Amino acid sequence: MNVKTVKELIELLKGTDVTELEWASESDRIRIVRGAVAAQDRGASHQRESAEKSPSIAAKEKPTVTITSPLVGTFYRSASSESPPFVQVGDRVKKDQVLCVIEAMKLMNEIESHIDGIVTAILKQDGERVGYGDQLFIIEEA
Amino acid sequence: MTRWHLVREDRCPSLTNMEQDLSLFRSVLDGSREATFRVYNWDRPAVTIGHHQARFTPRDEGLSLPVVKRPTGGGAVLHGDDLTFSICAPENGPFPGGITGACTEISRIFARCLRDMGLDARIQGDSKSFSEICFQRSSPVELCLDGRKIMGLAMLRRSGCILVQGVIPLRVDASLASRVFGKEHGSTEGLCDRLPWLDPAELIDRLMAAFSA
Repeated sequence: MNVKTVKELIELLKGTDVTELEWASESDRIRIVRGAVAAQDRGASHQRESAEKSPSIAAKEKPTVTITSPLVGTFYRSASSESPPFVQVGDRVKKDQVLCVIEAMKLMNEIESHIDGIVTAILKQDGERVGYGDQLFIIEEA
Repeated sequence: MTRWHLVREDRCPSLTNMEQDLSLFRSVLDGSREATFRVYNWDRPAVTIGHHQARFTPRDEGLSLPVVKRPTGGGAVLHGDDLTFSICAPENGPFPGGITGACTEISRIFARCLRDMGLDARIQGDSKSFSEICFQRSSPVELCLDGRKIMGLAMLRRSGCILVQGVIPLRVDASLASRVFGKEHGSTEGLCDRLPWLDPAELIDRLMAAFSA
């Protein structure tokens, strides 16, 4: 099970009435429950992955936190069109480090990591429209 | 009670204006100031564009104007003779209620000062419209006079603090505006074009008093 597969499964559920999906392969298993409790903190919300994994996988992988969008707007990976991205997959990030900008109307809203960790997935494209609660990043706790 | 740092400047170069706003914002971010309110103008016509606007080319490509990026969002603004301002404050400081609450409260302060000068300024807006040009669009919290937007606001939220940049055009060079944005440019009149008797210095005095109260 890799992050890409998890992302594809999450995308698969969007726009459907499915509230729970369990997916298994020879080596591991994942259960995704939609509408799980989300904690909000300073504008950006975090959502713990509601995933159950086989004991062997759980032992190898650290907990992850999903950074979601606190508002509707346009997702930008860099400070400006001339700047490099704030973060790349694999980057180690610190708590309060800026991960992206969401521009809504005339507001530039910087979204920060709320934990120390490693970026394991970036779930939106630069310039993509995002909605409230859309998943943006998966951060593996350090 | 918030201790406001008030800055009143006259006409400055466009780049200096943006750098000064950012410098004040950093002073609030690092805690050396509680909140700041700065009023300024422009030493020559210039265009500011939103932080994520990739580029801006005047409609008349032969026109040479400084084009500088704002640290905030929003569309392109032609500055000439303006009442331009910036406000820096913690999110949970003098304007509680989130970003919309802050914009509403700031607009209320301006509306109150304008009403004290005998103008029927109101807060209204229309979030449905969108344009790359600031004064051709409005949001739910825009300051209007006789139904027309007179003040543009743009914002940056960083590390629990907000930077709000705003502008009230005082006198608009309609010919220049047309060369910059085309003939369909939405705002060809500034506040003093419509109300020649209005004294901008009095409005600034009232604003300074309102923010220091």
